[in-house]
Amino acid sequence: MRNRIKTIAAWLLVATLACGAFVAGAELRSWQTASTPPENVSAPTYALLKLTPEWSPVTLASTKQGTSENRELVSDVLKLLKVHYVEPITGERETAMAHGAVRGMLEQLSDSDSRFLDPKERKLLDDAGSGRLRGIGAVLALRNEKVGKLEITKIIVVAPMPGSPAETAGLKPGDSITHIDGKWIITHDPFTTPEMEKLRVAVRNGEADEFTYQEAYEAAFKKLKEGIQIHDALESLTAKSPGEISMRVERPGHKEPIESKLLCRGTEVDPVTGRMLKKGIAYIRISQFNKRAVREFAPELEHARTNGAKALVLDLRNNPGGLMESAKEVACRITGGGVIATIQEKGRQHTIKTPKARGLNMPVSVLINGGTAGVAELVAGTLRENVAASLVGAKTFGDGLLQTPLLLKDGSVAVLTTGKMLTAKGFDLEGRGLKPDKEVKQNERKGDAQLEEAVETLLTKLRKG
Amino acid sequence: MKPRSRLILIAALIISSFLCGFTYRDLGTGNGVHGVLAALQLLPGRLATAITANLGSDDTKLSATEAYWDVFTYLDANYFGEKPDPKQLTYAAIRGMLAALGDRYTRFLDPNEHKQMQEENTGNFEGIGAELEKKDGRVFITKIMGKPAERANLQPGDIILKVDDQLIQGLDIAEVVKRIRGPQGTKVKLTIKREGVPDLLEVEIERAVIPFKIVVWEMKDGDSKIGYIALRQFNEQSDQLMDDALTELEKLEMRGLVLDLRGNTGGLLEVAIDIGSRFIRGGDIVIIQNRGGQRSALPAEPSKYNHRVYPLVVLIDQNSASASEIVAGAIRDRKAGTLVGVDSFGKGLVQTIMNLEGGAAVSITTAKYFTPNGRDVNKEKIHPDVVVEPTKEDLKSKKDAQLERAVQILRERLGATQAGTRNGKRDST
Repeated sequence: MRNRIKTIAAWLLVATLACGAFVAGAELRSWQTASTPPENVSAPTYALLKLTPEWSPVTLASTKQGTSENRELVSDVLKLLKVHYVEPITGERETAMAHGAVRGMLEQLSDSDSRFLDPKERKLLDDAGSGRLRGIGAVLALRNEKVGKLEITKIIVVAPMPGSPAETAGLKPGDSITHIDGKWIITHDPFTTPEMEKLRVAVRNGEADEFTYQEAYEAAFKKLKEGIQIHDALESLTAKSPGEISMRVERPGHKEPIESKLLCRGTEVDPVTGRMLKKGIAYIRISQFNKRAVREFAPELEHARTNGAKALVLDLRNNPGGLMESAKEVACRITGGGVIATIQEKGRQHTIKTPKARGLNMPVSVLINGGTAGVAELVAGTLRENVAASLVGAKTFGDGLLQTPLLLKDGSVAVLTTGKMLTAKGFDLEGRGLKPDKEVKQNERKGDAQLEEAVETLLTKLRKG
Repeated sequence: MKPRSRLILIAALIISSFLCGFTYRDLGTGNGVHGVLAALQLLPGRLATAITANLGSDDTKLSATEAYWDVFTYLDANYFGEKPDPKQLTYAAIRGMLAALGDRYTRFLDPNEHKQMQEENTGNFEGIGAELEKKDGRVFITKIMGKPAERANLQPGDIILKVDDQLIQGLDIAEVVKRIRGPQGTKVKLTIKREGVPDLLEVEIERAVIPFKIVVWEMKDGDSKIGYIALRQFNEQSDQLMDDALTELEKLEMRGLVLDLRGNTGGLLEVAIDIGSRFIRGGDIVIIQNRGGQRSALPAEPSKYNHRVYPLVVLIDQNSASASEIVAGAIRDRKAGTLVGVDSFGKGLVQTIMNLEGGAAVSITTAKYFTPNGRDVNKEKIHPDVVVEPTKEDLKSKKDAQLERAVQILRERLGATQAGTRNGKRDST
């Protein structure tokens, strides 16, 4: 009897366990369907175009209190999706949607510097800002140009960083990249280029046969079909993991495009380097205004002083700019403090002052070229205005727009153009750039002619002074 | 030894109960053995996701509304430069938000687009009256069917390069159509490459209301009595018009039918079931899988199966989508007819349009569907039984090779049937 009860109890237990397992399985399944990870949430990666000359990123306390019909609309759409969409809106998926929303808004803006960076892309920007670049190791920008009726968006090399694959391959500021790995970057409408227009006129006048035109048309179509989008091109150029990349570049003043092949790898920029030149002239090069430059500039200057420097060549060529803080630090060590910039923002204007410091009190010459951009231009302008530094080299890039990175909770960032920088005396850099006091063309075979000119200028000043 | 084998038995029982519970949901399709097999096939994948989902975390979650609002307000207050219209900015945010889902059918319709869509559902649309097709990356005009296109002297075979000076390279055909359509009286500029003409043609066309016949029918072949019905859209009138067309053709003693679903981009799900029911006797037409993975089979409506039975050929092309694919897929799976043409579009998703404040709307994918045999249309498209690809020459000479092949197939089949009848093996109908 007892045995039988025991057996029945045992089987009951087994049955209960089996039922439990069944329910557990069903529960796990329904829980799982409620949290399936998104399948193909893909968003374009926006390459970093330019470092951000901002003193501190902005984090907003969430502005929950405000409301408007616009906000209602977005929140209604989201609610409908949460209830009805065929796949569950998981946290991950909603985050991707949040990124999409911000990206969609920023794409509506007319300037290419306002952009969204997801946490991964932001890391690229942060790394680049502290001198660690990937891809070809150059800072790039987009520039719109018009040739006749044709609108072209060019990918311009602002500055190849020292020691980078781009520098090794001989890229120059102002080069525009037109092909990557044999693929044309879709920078314009290939059907309405001046060549095509010319050919069309020729056919109409009977100077060219239709077959030639048809061929040109097919070529243009093929080009378009096989071309790559600008954003994808930027991604390869600035974020590509180590590997070979080949490019075709157009260089102002060169008729033939230049083919170059380079090996992408990480580039670590040494922001401040210096040495003594002849006759008591110190040479300091700043390749990027980043946090390291803040720490390293003063000691380098001190080192020059103890070595008996009587004049300074400050090399800002191929310096794409960087952090305003860093630019302030460098400027005040030379000027002794004062206004470095006038900032125009929406509805207000203010000046940025550098802290008081021990000034340099010796003649200064600044080397600039087309790769001198952003706050680097600002420093060059300030030194000219405040300590009568002579600018030697070529015209600067002309980037005077100021961006503010707006940090979002998940570590992504919306970079917005919020102002414009002018030099202390009100010179507007944007789109114009600084002209050197002494324009010197660089001839690679004959060494550094610009540097020699800067040294000569300083020697003359020293003789006079 | 005995207690040990008993233990193993108990463990096996518990594990299989667990798995049964786990697959229970996938069985809900009511498709008998098929369903069980399908559910079992899904099992490893389901378990894998269950395990990996466990490892994921939600630490970096960002609320879409908050992110939008933070950036929107900051931008409003601080953006240096020309500020875009807040409404357009918001629409762009919503579009970007929906784009992140990676499902192009879940999309935002601003008040204009919404209005346009509603008008199209009533049978008429505003545009230029040209049918388009995308092939090898080029968008061709395949057919002129409206006054504006006719007046502008557009021709079949013309390649559209630009719409309103914007290159259309990389856009899908639906997007190109969307750009060309617009309210009557407004103009659209097309840049066209015509073979043999060196200049790119730029034509400005004034849009108009294009009368749109949902059902077009005729008796194709007087001798063999092969009927032809083209269904352009699945809307509220479609089923009645289809019924009328069948009745008329039967009055003319139709013995075989070509159902043309080419260029039919779909419409209402219920209508697809009604139309399908006209050709399929009982059983399932489509299997819907809603959010949460539950599947339900939608059966044919027997009362609609009220016409005579004759050999059927269905024409499909790369623009046959959604409801067209439901009908074509069901006819193929249930062996009710032969499919002729090229691979269909491949849209196995069901959308619901939901209205928003201010006249805008959002189209949300609310379910997936599968053909009665469980094929995923989204992944596989509908393959024709007989592939007929129109050539460039066909396009120019306006020859319809697909239709000709369909008629030929029916004729052959009818010939065989006739032979059978003569031998007295079949009853004549």
